[in-house]
Order: sequence, then C-alpha cells, then structure tokens
Amino acid sequence: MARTRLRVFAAVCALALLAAACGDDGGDDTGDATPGDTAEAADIDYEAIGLWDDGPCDESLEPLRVGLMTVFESPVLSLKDQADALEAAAEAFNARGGANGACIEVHTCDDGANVDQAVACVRELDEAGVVVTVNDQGTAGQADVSAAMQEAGIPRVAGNVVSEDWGDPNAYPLDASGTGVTFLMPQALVEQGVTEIGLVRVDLAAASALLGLLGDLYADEGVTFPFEAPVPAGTTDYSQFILGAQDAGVGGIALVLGEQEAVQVARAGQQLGTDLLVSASLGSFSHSSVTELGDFAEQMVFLWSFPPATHELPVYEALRADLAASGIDSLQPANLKASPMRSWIGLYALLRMIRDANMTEFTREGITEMLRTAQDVPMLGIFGDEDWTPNQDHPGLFKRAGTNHWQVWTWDPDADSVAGEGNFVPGAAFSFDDVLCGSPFGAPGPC
Amino acid sequence: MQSFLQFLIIGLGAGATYALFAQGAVLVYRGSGLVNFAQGAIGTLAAYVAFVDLVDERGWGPFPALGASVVVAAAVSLLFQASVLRVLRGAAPIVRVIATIALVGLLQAVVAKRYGVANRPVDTYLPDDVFRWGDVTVQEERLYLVGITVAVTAALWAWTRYTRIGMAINASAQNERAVQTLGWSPDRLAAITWGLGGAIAGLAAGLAAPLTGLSATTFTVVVTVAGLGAALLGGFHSFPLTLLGGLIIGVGESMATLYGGDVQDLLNQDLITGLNRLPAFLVIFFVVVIRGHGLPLRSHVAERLPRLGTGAISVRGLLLASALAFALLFGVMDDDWAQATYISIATGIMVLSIVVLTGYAGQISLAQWALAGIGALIAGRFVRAGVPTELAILLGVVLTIPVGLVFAIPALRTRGVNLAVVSLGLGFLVSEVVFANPSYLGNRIDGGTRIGRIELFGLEVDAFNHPHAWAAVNLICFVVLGIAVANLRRSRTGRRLVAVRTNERAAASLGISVFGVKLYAFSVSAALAAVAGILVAFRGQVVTYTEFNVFASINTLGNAVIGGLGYALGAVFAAPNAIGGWGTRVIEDWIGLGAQWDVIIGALVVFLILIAHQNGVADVVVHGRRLWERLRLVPRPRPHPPLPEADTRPVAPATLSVSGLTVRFGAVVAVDGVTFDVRPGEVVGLIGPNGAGKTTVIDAVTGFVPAAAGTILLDDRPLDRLNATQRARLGLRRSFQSLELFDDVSVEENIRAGSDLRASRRSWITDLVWPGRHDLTPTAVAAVRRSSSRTTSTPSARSCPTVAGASSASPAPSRPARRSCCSTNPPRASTSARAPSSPASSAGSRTTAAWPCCSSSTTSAS
Repeated sequence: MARTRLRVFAAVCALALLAAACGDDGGDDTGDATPGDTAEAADIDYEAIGLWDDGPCDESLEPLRVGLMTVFESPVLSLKDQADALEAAAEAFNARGGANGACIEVHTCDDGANVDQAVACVRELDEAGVVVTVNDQGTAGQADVSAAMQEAGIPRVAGNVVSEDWGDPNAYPLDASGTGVTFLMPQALVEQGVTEIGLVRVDLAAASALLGLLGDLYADEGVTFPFEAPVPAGTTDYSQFILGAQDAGVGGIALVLGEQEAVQVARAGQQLGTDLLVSASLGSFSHSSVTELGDFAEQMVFLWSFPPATHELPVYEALRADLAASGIDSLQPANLKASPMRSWIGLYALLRMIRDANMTEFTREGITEMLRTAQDVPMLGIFGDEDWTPNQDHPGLFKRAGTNHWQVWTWDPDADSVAGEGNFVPGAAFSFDDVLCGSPFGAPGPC
Repeated sequence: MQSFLQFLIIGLGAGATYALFAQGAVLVYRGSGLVNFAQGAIGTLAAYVAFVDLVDERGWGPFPALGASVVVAAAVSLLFQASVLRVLRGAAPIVRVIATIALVGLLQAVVAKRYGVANRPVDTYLPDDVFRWGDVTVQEERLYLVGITVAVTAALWAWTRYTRIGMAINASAQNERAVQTLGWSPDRLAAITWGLGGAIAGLAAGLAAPLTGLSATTFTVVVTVAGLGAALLGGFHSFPLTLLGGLIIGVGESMATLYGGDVQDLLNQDLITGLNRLPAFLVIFFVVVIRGHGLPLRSHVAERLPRLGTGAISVRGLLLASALAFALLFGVMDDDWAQATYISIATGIMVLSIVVLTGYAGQISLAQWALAGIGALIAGRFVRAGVPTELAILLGVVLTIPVGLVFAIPALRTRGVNLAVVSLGLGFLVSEVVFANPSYLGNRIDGGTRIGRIELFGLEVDAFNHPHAWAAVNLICFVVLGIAVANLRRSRTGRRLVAVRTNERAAASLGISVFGVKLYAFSVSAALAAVAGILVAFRGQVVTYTEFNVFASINTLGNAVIGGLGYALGAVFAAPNAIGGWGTRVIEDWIGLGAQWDVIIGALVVFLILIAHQNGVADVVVHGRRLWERLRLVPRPRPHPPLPEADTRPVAPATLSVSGLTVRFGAVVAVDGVTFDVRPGEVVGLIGPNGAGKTTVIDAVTGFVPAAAGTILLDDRPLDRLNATQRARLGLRRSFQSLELFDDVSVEENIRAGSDLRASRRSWITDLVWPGRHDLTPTAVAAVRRSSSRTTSTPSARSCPTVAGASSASPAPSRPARRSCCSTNPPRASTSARAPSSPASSAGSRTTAAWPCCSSSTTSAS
C-alpha cells in the first residue's frame, strides 16, 4: 500500500512539475519584431529629433545603475512591460553613448503587489547600488516604499505617483500618471459634451471614495455622476455595467479600471452596441486592442499626458525603434501602451539632465541635487509645448504632479499609422492645474 | 419596471454561470460527501488548454475546444480522485477538503506559470445577437447559457433519480459499505462522480470564458463566492434548488448594482460598499439559520477530525526551541529571512486560532483572516486616534471578541460544511463591506489606516527598518499564545471544547452548554486571530486590508491541517508554509526557483503529508516520542498518581415524574400520552420494537426534542421549559443508545468531562494560564477507578465510561438528586433487563454511576 501511495504521488508530482516546467512563464513573450512597422534605428537622424548618438558606451566606466520596481503580473494589473521597456531603452541608449559614456545598468524587481515583496524590492535595489529609479509603480506598501527610498536617498524619476507620493520631495514624476487619468477622465467626456457620467471603477478601498471626490471636483461644471459601480473579482457579466449606466441615463462612462477589466467592459459595450461614450486610459489600450473593438472604437475617448505610440512625433521614431528592437511583443508599436513608453521617456529625460550637467560620477546625492536644480528639461514635444522642471511643486493637494499637459484622443479607423489601419487622433488638450483649480484638490480660485 | 426586468435578465445570466459551476460541486458532494473547492480551478486549467493551446495555438474551432475543455477537466478531476482521494478514502473529511484546496493552489500556480496571470480575453463563440424588447436588452448568448444550465440541471436530476447508477451514487454517499454489499464498487462510483463533476466544471468554464476572460483565479473566485452559496441553498443535494440558488444569487447581485445608489440614499450614507454580496449572503444566512438546529438531530453523523494532542508542554523543549529561534534570528538571519520569520510566525498565530476553533471545538470557519483584519482595523484606528500603541493593540484584541461572537451565530444553528460555507460568505462580506469602504478605514484617499512607524514600550520595532525586532515581537507573542493554547487543551475548559467537537448531543447530556462552548471557542479564536492580524497589519505604516481575505483563511486552514489541527505544536510546523515565509525563502534562496514554484512545491508537499500522515506533522513528532525522551527534551511518561479515596455520601432522594408526554414531528405523533414515575432506587425499563418511540421518550425527558404536551417533574420542579443542558445540570442525565463517547480523548478525560461542572465561570479565562488544577469530584474518582482499566473497544466496555461520565458530576447545589437515562433498542423479541445494581450506588454513592452495561431502555434512579 505504501509503495502504491508513493508511486501514485510520484506520478502526480511528475505531472504537475512537467505542466509547470513546460510553461513559458507568461511573460517571456518575445516574438519577431515587425520590420516595416517602424523606422530602422540606422535611418534615424538622432540629433535632428533632439537626441544624440555618441557610439557605444564604455563598459570600463562605473555604470549608471537605474532601478524599477512594480508588479510584473497580477490578474488586474500586469506591468512587466514597464520593466522590459526600461531594459530595452537602456540597451538602445547604451548603443548611443549611455550616460555621458558610462553604460546604463538596469535592475528591476517584481513587487508582486505584496507589501513584503515591495519591502524586499527596496532592499534589493538599495543593495544593488541603484542610484535612481525610473518609472517605478508601487502597488502595495507604498508608504513604506516611499519612505524607504527617501531614507536610502534613491530619487524616483518618472514614477507613477500614488497618494503616498504627492508630497514626497524625493519623487520627480513626469506627470500625474494614474491619478491624473482618474481625476481627468471625466474631463475627457466633458470635452465631448457629456455632463452626466457613469463611473465604473476598480473594487478597491482607495477607489471607493472616488465618486465623492469627483463629484466635488466637477460640481462647478455642472457634471453629475448618477451611476457608479465597482467591478469585483470574479465578475461574470460585464454587460451589467454598460446596461446599468444606460439605465441611469448617463451620456458616457469613465473606466477607472486595470487594463484587463477595462477591455472586458469595452467589449461588452461593443457587443451591446451601446450609444454611450466610453472614456479610457491610453495606459490600458494600445493600437491593436482598440482595433479589435471595431466600430465601437469610434465611441471611445482616450486620455493621457503624452501621445500614443503610433502618433507621428519625430522623437517617437527613436522611441518605437528602440523598444521594438527588443523583439518583445508588447513593445511593438501596435501593442505599445502608454505606461511602458514612460520608461523610455523617463530614461531619456534623466540622461538629458545628466548630459546637460556633464555628470560622470553617479551617486544618489549627485542625481538628487541635479533633479532639484534642473529647469525646463526639453521634452521634444512629448508633453505638447511643455518642458519639464522635475522639482516643481503644484498648488493644492497633488504637489508632485509633473507636467501639466493632458490630451484627449479619439479613434479614426481610416487614418494610417505605423501599426496599420486606424490611428488615434488628437483632441482637446487641457492643463492639470486648470482642471483642479478652485476644487478641494487644486489651487484656490479665482482660476 | 423595465430597469427591473433588464437587471433580472442580467442576473439570470450570471446566476446560470454560478449554478453550472455549483451543479458539479453538488454532484461531487452527493457522491463523496466532499466539498470540492477545486471545481473552479479544474475548469480554469481546462479552459486555458482549450482556448489558448488549442484555439489560439493550434487553430481549433471553439466548439471542439469546448469539448476538449470538458474532457480535460474530467481527466484532471479523475486523476485527482484516483491519485489522492482514493488514498485518503478513510481520512477525516476536513483532510480531504484540504486536499482539494491544495489542488486549487497547484492548478492556479501551474496555470500562472504556464500561461501567465494576466487576464486573456476569449472571443465569443455562442450566437451573440442582441434583442431589444422596448428598453430591455437581451443578449442571445445569455439565453443559451441559461438554457444549457437548465438542461444540465434536468439531466443530473433525472440521472440521479431514475438510473441505477445515479441512485447508487446517492446511496454511496450515505453508506459506502451498504452499497458495496449490493455489488457496487465505491471507488468506481467515486470515479464516475468526480469525472462527471470535472466535466461540468470544464463545460462551465468553457461557456463562461468569453464573458469573463481567462485568468488563473477568476473561476475559483466564482465558485467560492457564489457557486458554493448556490450549492448550500440546494442543501448540497438538490440540483433544482441549486439552480434556483444560483439564480437568486445572480439576480441579487445585479439588483444591488441597480438599486445600490437608492439604498445608499435611503440609509443616508455617503458610501456603502459590498452591496452586491449582501443579498446573496443574507439569503444563505437565513436559510441556514432557519434550516439549522441548536443541537444536531439524532441522525446527524459528526464529522471526524484529525487526532487531538494532549496539550502537554515540555518546558525543557520549549526553552531550548525558543532560545534556538532567537539565536538563529539575531545571529544568522539576514533581513530577508527575518522578514520571512515574521510572515511565518503571524501565520503560525493564526493557526493557533484555528487549532482552538476547529482542532479543539470542531467548528470550521473560513473567515479567520477577516476577523484578523477587524482586529487590525480596530487597533489601527486607535493608534491613528493617538492612543498608545500597546493599549491600542490590547483594545484591538479585546474588541474583536464581540465580533467573533457575531461570527459564531451561524455555528449555533449549523455545523460542518454548511458552517464552512456560511463563514466563507461572512468573510467575503467583511472584505467587501468593511475593508473596501474607506469611510471605515480612517482616510478616504489612503484606502487604508495610517499608523506610522511602530514603537512598543519605547523601542523601535517597525518591520521595515527593524525586521529582526519585529520578528522577535512576533516570536514572543507566538510562544506565549502557544503555551496558552496548549494549556487550554489540558484544562476542563478544553475538555468541554473537545466534548462539543466530538458529540454535541452527548456534551449537552452531560450538562455542557454547547452554545456557551461554541461562543467561547469563537471568542478565544477571534482574540488569537486579532493578534495575528495586528502583527500582519502593523508591519507597514499604512494598514491595508487586501490580505485579510477568505482565500488566505482557506490556505491557513490547509496549513493548520498539515501542521496538525489538534496540536498547539502544529502551528510550528504550519508556519513555514506561509507564502513569503520560510518555505518560500528555502525554495527561492536555497533551491533557486522563482515565482509560483513555492506554491507548486508547497501543494505537492501538502499532498505528500496528507497521504503519509493525515493527522499532521505534529502528530508524527509527538508520537515519535522515544527519540525526544532519549534526548530528554520531553519527560518520560510517569505513572498516574494514585486516585484519592472517594468521599461517598448518600444522595438526597428525588422522583422523576413524566405525565401525558406527547411528542409530534409534524403530523406524526411519535409519543402519545406516556406517563411514568421513576422513584428513588428504581430502575424502569421501556420496552418496545424499533420505531416504538423509546428513544424519543428519553430525548423528550432529557430535553433533546420538544414535547408537544405533558409535564416532566424532577421532584416538584417542572423541567418543561428547560433545555437539555439545564436539565443535566439539575441532575437529569442520559447516556445514548450508540454509547456516545468522546473518542478523541482518554477514558479519564471522558469521565472528567462529565465531572467538570463545578468549574467557575472564571475558569474560562484562568484555564488559559493555569490548567490542570481541577480535582475530580468524589463520584468521578469512583467512576475512574471502575472504568480506566477497561478498554473501550467493545460495546459493553464502552458503556462503562459512557454511564460513568453521565453520572460523575456533583449535583447542582439546588438539586442533589441525579438521574441517569440510557436507551438501547432491544432485539425484536426483547425483554426488559434490569441493570445490575451499581457498585457505586450500593456503596452509598450519590449517583448511579458506572454500571457495566445497559441492555435495554432503562431509566434508573438511585
């Protein structure tokens, strides 16, 4: 009997291990780059677009150690592409001179959306000698992470700011990132003439208060939010959110959701053929995911602080080429979402400051000092006409909100793009400070 | 009205999905008496294989892929039944449930490893036209889903009702041996049940995938949140009622979406969260409470639990282990290992709470981490309000106890799987209603409770900057609480818990308040859970509540079982299995494997332990005592000290008078106008064929069933309005036809359980600190003397401690007399037999304790 048990157990173990070991880890999605989708790196005149090409970096020099920690994969949020993009960007910039000749070394860490893992990640980055982080995005224990980063003296550049970071002088965000999207998404609908808005949001405590906050923020514009629904784990029918919003008589809904859930709600809207306008984040939708929505894509408005990857902007030629060269599917122009793009943009901005400051020794203190003093870092049209002053404090609650530029994008199925048919079309642009001015969160009026 | 119709239709669609998953679980339960938590995970794996490997990678059509999903799920389910459950056939039900939970972990990790954890959309393949009737929109796909679910329900109903094999499966769940004698192989029947149950999971997942997308956890959540609730509403038996249950839950959720704002306005609240879970939970809660019984029915078969430890503490072993732990912590471990230490130990403390609640008292709760979160919330709010941290923690622990009592309410009316599922719902409700509502948490923007960095008694111990210090705090708490839990086991309070765990009816017959014991177990367990919760929550500057979910509770229950559910020591062996704990460190640091491997290897280790030793690691360690004795880490067993001489005194005589006793079960009159007296010194026999109502008379006299008419007097005191416990305390006790013993404990403890009545209320607390100081009553001494040398393997031998336990307490002060009743169905042509006169009685004892056997229904008086 004992032998039989052992044999049976051994068989189960073997099957389980085989099934797991045959896996692709879900993230090793390297595919063939799609030549023709984007310009070859060799064709690009870097100086003309505001970049540089000084040849390969010198590996004998002390490297610039850059870190990134975020949740790589979870059922709601999977941001490994941010880490992949930072590595791809570092490789590309290294080929063009790195950080004033020194190579850029990237250390990434998966916080697993778990407090303990996040704490371990900070320790890991600290021990690895990381001098600055780029595009890190905390999803758990951010109060401790922010404080620890500050105590370790590791400045955080181009991070996705959360509530813990708004007053953190160690945070130097490029934009108000996820919080900006959340607070400004109704504005994208307002720009389309919608004043009765439904809110479909993540089922988290921090998001539960959103309805009241947005109500306060948009009260002066006559905007109301007659419908609000959280999307709980295990939701089996996403059409209820569309139908619920329709029933409440709203003109549009704002999807304050992670990527996967947002796509599901949009697909439900597509299936139902709803008339609602749907506002979503370019952090959740790429060219290819919008294309899959067919005609329904024309009912969507997208919001972000910088243009989507397929937009024709000179510096984007380099961005697309650098990320596509990694061969990773999610970094190809058609699949590229805004959040991984920020890794490239953040690294560019950091290197630009290092270049301008002629910095060759990279210490935490030195980088921090540089960030505190840098003014008007050229952003090459990425944030409209706006350049970036890292240490700028905004009035109101959201002090570290970076640049002010936010823009609405709609979908034109007939427009051409580097990723194929259809493209995002720029709509109204507005200022973060202006939208918040006079509300409990922004500068006091008159605005 | 149109809105109502619209959301009714939406709810029916979602409810059909719940019901379909639930039908598989009901089928498995009917065939094997086992709640299959892995129903969703099996479906998930099958759906991934179908839609990713076959449709996306190999270009299969969706319908052949759906077929493949059914086949794969059936195969996985069958493999699990054949490889694990067949080996665990004789194990306690909870052990087998834990095996299904381990399967959930294994399958989810394999899916995450192979396919990633991000949600993958699946294209719709059922006809998806949209019909509009006025303003009401109906999606054709949902109609198909409802239709398929109704068809599956009807097929299952007909199959189990009208086919030989279906009826055999039903019968097998009731009595495997009886079915075997009819020529059916239980293994074959179980294989059919599991295979078919798995196939239904594959079908449900394949049909739901286009609606939900695919992720490693979605279907497990669906099954756990709603599927099991639907199954519970169907009593884990009725397929049509399960369908109805699923539809009620689905409609309840959609109506909450529709009317949530109105409810909020009605209650004048800025924010109410979790409304979508509330209707379903309330329905489940009230159905369970209404259907339930304070004491189990005579037909109830108590679920066996893993073996109990004795609660003995080796002081030398404890000191050595503690010293070693501190030496390793401060001398060897780096920050990562210190972090793993506090994660493990907090889980260990939670395991202690499960040992008390489930191991000792037999109450299953899958909401322990929700209670832990409540403790953390209360303590966190006090810290935030400026209360000193030490006091805030104390208040958090103390104030969680009343919440634990609320969690105990279902346990007063139900037990076993029903209790587990209701507690699951309660856990979800707390997560969604309390932990998702920032109004309760302290700050609307943080989404948590900001407490800053923790100092205790002037020492900086915050986990981030001082992980070793925080681990030490955890370790100290663990040792102190572990001792308290072990003490509890050895105490008279512990014996009460064990009595209730083993047999609620027998416990009540000994005067033990079953309600009181359950409430006590939930209270102690809530306090321990609160400590665990505070230790988990206070490691950060902001308390967040996502960790306090039912899945953590389920995992920790699994850890408790593999550690040893009946042992305080089990917590030591359960602790390393915590995700992020020592086990994870070993796998990541020493073996060098990355994410998900800790879960995969952990699940395989669980299977191994369950297969090899179902009572847990602690049981192996404790029963391998010889080695420890040789190392002098535990004391060699000493002979029991001689019992004192019994101080026997005569009993004040009392007469039991029963007059016109009538008992009705609905329209059936089971007992009609029975009248008799039992005078001092008499033995009265009740004789009759099976079904005559003998046991019902005893049940009614002792308060186990309500009498419809008649009076029962002990001397002149009417007993009619008293419950079984109160009657026992007045001296009217019983034994049972089936010679109910507390099989988990020794003969002496059986008798002690009956003689512990004199314990003061204070002993509920003092027993945690100072157990084992309770002398036996004189009658119990006499009973132990007669019984302890006998084995309990034969009916006649088992009757001795049964009767001895029933008569071993000192009488209540107001009523010195004691009556013991026992009832046995005699053979068909029965005659009454007078029980031999009791030696204790003849020696002038105050009770009729310790006669060797009862061979007929007798009521006797000394």
